Amino acid sequence: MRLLLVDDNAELAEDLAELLASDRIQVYAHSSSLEALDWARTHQFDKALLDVRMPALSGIELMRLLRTGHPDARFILMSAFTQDAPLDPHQDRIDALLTKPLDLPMLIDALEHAP
Amino acid sequence: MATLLDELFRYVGFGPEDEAQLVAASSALAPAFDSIVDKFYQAINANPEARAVFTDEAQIARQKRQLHAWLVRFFSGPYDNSYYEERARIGRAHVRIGLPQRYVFVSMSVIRSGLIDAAAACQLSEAVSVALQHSIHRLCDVELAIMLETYREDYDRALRAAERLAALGQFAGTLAHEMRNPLAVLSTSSHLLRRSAGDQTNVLRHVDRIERQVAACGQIVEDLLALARDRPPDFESVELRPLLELAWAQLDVGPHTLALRIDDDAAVLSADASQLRLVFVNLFQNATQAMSEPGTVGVVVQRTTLGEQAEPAVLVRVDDQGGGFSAAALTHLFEPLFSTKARGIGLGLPLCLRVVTKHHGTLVATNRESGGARVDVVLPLSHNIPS
Repeated sequence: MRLLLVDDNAELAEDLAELLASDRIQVYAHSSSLEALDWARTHQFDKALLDVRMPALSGIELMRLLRTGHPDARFILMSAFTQDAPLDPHQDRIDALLTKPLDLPMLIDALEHAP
Repeated sequence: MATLLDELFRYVGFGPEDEAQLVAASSALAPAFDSIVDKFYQAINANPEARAVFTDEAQIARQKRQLHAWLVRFFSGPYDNSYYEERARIGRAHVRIGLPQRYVFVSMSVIRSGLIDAAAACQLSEAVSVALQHSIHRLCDVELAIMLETYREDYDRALRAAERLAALGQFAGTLAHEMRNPLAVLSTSSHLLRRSAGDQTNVLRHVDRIERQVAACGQIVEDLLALARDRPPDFESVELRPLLELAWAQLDVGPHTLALRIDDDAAVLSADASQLRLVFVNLFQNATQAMSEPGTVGVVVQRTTLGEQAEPAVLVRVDDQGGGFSAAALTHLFEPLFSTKARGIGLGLPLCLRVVTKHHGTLVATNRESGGARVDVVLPLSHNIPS
């Protein structure tokens, strides 16, 4: 599985990339949503793990833009802000909305079980 | 500087003649004090709600001695600031035990008529007797005003605490969210560190330590968020034993032990389980941190009643074997950011109080006779809240 990971906190992006990378998961980590958008013009991915609150483009805006070129991709969002929770997983077609600090087993479960 | 007492004396016209009048009558009236004290407590005993404020006979015996001393001072003065302070201290004790204000009024009426009857029965000239009765009335009115002032102090304090809590809540929410990002990095990094440590026990020991502290920060963040969130309770049927045991297990209790005694008929109530657990996590944490020697936190759960309708309720009493609350702590306990602990930010009890209040219950902190602090949480058994 090819996973696009975007968090403006570069250290978290780096940590998560290292934690999640395995035989089954290749992680492409970015600490800027614009940079990630640029990368996605020329690369494919199956799933995206996006931070919600980022400068320039929020995770939600980034997700909408990414969907046009990658209609089959699945999305998982993460946020430190509980009030982002009203984001409706069904309406926004996301697989999960996780709160930070991340519960790793829960994250891995969301990644592996998202259809 | 004119004090409140001066102002009250001026208002009712209580002056040096009254003082002299009362002091002169002191020995003549003293024999009547015992029967006034008895009448006072007969009236209380006859009223279940007033009686409920007192826990046992020993307490009543103590209060009787106190009332006797109160009457002695009534007729001996000096009627100065120390007089005011002594009276206000008694008033604050009434506030603390939750005595409804109306009992202050009717109790004062019992004392007043007892004193007037006693004064009338004295062998005094008509003029002196009338003057003495006037003095008694004036001072009784001032006494009432002082008692009411202590209730106002308490109301003001609660209002200030609520305002502070609201302002703090907003700030706490922002702060907590901002802290979640660095905490996320800390926790993922320590995970990675653990993974690469292999079996280097020394490294693992430090990773454990980091993770424990990250978890502690996470708990603070959650407390702050709970404070900011301020959501109404989600009532469900809650079993107290597992809830209390879970709250205890959630803490680093060190060498301390929990002694839990739950009466069967008080084991289940209607409450918001997660909010209620937060209350007992905080109370247990305070209790264990208050004990410098290995000790026991005693928790007793039993049936009681609450409020004027004597609603069926559950009392959860948490006792520790620490040093108890200081006088200053008892006054400020529920004000946000007041803390006596070297560690701790002073949000625990204000949060507890808010949760308990939202459950229509009461939370009272006192010191035990035998030493150590006591916190009584009383919660209604059910919430058939009319909409």
